[in-house]
Amino acid sequence: MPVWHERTKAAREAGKLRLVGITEEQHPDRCALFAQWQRLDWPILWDPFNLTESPVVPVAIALDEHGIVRSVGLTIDRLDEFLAASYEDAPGSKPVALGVREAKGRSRELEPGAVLDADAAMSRLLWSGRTDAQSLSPRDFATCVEALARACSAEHAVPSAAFRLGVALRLRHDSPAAPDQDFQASIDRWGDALRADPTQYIWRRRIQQWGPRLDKPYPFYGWIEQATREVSERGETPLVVRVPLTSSEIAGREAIGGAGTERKHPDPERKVPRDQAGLVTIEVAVAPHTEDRGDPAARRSAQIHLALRPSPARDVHWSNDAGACEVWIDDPKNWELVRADFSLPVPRDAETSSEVRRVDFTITAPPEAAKLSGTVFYFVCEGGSGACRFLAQDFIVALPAAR
Amino acid sequence: MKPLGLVVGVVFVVIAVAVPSWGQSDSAPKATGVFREGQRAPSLELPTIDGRSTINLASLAGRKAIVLQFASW
Repeated sequence: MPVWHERTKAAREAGKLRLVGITEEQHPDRCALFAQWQRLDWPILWDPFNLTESPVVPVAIALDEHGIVRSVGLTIDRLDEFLAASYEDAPGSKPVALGVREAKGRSRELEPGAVLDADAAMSRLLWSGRTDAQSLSPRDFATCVEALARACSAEHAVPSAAFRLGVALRLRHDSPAAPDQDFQASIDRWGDALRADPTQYIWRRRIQQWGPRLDKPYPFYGWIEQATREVSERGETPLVVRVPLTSSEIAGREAIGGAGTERKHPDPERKVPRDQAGLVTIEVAVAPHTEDRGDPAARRSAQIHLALRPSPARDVHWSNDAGACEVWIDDPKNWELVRADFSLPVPRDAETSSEVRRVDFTITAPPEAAKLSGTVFYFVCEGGSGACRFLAQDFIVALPAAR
Repeated sequence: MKPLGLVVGVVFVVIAVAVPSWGQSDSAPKATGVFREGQRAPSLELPTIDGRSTINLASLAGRKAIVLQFASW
């Protein structure tokens, strides 16, 4: 995109050309940081639901002065030719109106019992006051998800309905009122869509973003650290990336049990009390390998995501002074585990906090493996004056069937 | 087989002649998703990534425009 930015600059400044971006990403704030970093000063639109139905990116579409598409897949070397050409209008032809097209009136909260269709649900999710759907109430979120679920289960439902339901579920997963299992459900719906149309690379990339490293075409957000640093060095304040990056979304790999790493179980005799009261819930999501071809071992790899949520109902918070959350994966013989970090970061500026803590790691399991088990250890306090405790919680991850 | 071959040949010639478009003189109009060469950009309104405004793709008429579909990854 920086190339298009530079090469179109003179024409844009002369008023001869508009440049408009459309990003096919789940999170708009990441693209906003990218635009700030690269000084992209033209509007970029957010299309997480793939309403443009683009099967692949990047692609440049040339529109003439009448709004008629003159080239799909314009290359930079033909830019001058496009700018110099003159075109006839096509009187009588009108733009095709797509279902989701208006922003008006989408910021009001829905009436109780409201029923939406899929287009109205996506409108509401796109224009809920902020582009990351943070301002939607849990009830409105539920109404939107239900609408997209109905579209997905309708007779003659198209595969994009499953993809779009997955997008809504992931949006809700990233919201403060996220119910458990939305993340896994989103990956499952994206998988449903991709199985129906394996050539749709936007859908494939959405799974691969959180998928195992062996299935990644490139590190998706490895540029963010550099962008943040360079924007700061320019004396600007980098735009905030609201949803924390998982290790699967950035570059770098490190093997458990690799050279010089000796694993030692933190509680071999299981003396640490288990979290029987459910002070923390563990949400597990598994992003499978998306390719049906290639190395069989690679196809058995998956990215495991754990999200640890302190119970808001019991006013549970992390005791940051006491120590970090530790994740232990039970020794899986003949498995390969790749990880970024199994000691979850602790905020340094607060004695206590109640944020969702996440960790993710890649596994490549032997064909016969059906599950993975492990234990999370954490320091938590209950209520403002409640006792703080060191607790453990075991978890089991069901693995995708071997292909 | 001969009549079938003739029909295929005629269809090929008709397509090749009927749909010349800018930069694509020897093939059918190209399309990506809702964008199809020779047709107007669809009426689809999307929010900007900062959430502060929206743009309808159909409103881009008035001056030449390039729509870049991309992702920062």
